[in-house]
Amino acid sequence: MIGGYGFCRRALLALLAVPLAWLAGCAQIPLGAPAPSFENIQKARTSGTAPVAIGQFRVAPGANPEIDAGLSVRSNSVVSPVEGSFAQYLRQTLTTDFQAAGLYDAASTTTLSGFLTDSTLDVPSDTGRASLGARFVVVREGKTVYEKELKTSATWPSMFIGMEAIPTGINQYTSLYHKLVGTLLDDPDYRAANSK
Amino acid sequence: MSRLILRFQTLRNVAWAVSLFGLLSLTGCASFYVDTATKEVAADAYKKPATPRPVQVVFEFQTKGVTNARAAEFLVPQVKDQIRNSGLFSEMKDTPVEGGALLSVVLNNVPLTDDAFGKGFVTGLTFGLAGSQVTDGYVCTMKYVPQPQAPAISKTTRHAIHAVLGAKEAPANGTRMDSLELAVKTMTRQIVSAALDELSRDPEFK
Repeated sequence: MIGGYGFCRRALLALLAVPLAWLAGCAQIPLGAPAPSFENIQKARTSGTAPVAIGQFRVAPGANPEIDAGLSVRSNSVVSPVEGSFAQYLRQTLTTDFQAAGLYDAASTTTLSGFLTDSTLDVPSDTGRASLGARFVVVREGKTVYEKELKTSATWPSMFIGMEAIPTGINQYTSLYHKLVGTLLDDPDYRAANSK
Repeated sequence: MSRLILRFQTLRNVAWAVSLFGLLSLTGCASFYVDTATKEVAADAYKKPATPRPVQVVFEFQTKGVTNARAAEFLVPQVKDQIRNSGLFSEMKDTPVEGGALLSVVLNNVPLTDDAFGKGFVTGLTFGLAGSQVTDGYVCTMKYVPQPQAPAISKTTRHAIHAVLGAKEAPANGTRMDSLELAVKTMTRQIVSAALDELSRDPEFK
């Protein structure tokens, strides 16, 4: 009976540990899986661009490799659910949007690759800030036809209470991935380099 | 022991709610009520098109207008099942369909204490925000694009979940749910059904 109680107590403590760690800090929080963006599908439909294969995504040479691994937010660690890499999360977001828009073709001779150049999230108790940047490269039959660094950022009122501020910051940061893909689709140079 | 576990479950539910939906900054026990102003419309009541067409569906959950990918993951299977079983479309896919029809469903969780968002809720929904009751609003925006380049048919429906702390009376305009999870799923089913019904009755929806 005592053993049973002890087991129950240990089980309860173990169960409590996860949400309490989340509430108190020191938790590892993965981003949600990317889902297609209606805005980007609409942009893609009017972009006049050709379907592409999606190539490698990784941290840009010279950039701090830590920008790919995780972000520290008030003692919590925000991580990518895709191979623990924000570069791979960007690749997944882009692939998801392009697939949904009919612009993904694994057999295409045109390949779109990316290099993560920037990834920040700051959630103080006044104004939150996040930024995301990548250099996109389009190669067609061995020839680079487009290479450009694109950036996007966000600011928002940030609360003192972490329970409110942390999820808000994560949502703001996550939304930058679709915004960056949208920036690519809007870029006249990309449209010209990869027109149908 | 069972009390401890119940307390833990409450804490877990609140932590879950805050992390997914940003619903409430609560501690302690809370009861959840789905507002009664927006009722579920059965799929049988929709005005069915003569020849249903295939559609591509995109679902997004937002918190204060910003994408909340984790909450979307939780609700997307339910929303897609509901659209699939609506009888309004011949087929539902995640990728482009023949004819290019596209349906976007955005469910935005908004705090009703913000005037800018709260104004839209004045009609049809009544609130008792005083004391230990917190109400979260939800706006469902459904956009249907029948074919590429065509203008979207847009429909908006609203809903709310009330959370009551401690011994405060149940809200008169709420149906009690056993858990926050059930409240969110019920609210989602009702608000999406109302939007689908409105869409089905639009003369441009064929």
